[in-house]
Amino acid sequence: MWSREKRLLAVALLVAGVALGVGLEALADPLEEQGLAWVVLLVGMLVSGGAVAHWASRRFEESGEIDERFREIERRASRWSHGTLTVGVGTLGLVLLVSWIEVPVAAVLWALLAGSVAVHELSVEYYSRQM
Amino acid sequence: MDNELKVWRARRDVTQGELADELDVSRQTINAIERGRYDPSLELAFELADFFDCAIEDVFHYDGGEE
Repeated sequence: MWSREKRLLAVALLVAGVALGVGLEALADPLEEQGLAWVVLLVGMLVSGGAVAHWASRRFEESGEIDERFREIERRASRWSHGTLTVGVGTLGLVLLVSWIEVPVAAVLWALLAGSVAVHELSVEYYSRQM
Repeated sequence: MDNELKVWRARRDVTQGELADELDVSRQTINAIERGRYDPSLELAFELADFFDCAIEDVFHYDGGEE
């Protein structure tokens, strides 16, 4: 059961992540050069984002909207988005390995991430209409 | 898989929403089953038969896997 204590812990993690990132950036210039402050900030955001997503999904489940049909739709959509991401990252890796083309890796990875989310949502919509 | 869920629901004068609440699934799921767009799990099929107090084959008929 998702308790109030755990929700508070998730919020505390968010605050701690942001505070640590901002603090490190302000205090330690050498770390800033290495981008460590940004890494900590990003990790903090990712952890808190995951916690919030988990909390939201639990609330959604408790509302009764999630049943076996919904899980089947989610499973099929996840297969498509996972496939998209795998093929995309694999192609990027191949291009980086065998090609001399300069690829903006970070931008492509962000685009792949956004693309896989879009594929997932479109798949959910498609299968919701199919089933 | 064919089913006579709509017939059984009409016999018992139960709405899709009421049936969904009773079985802890969404109304959309009941609608999808009735329209033959979604085949329920064995567990849900048994729960439906149990709700209507009949055998599972009275509600669901195997059609050889045809879509």
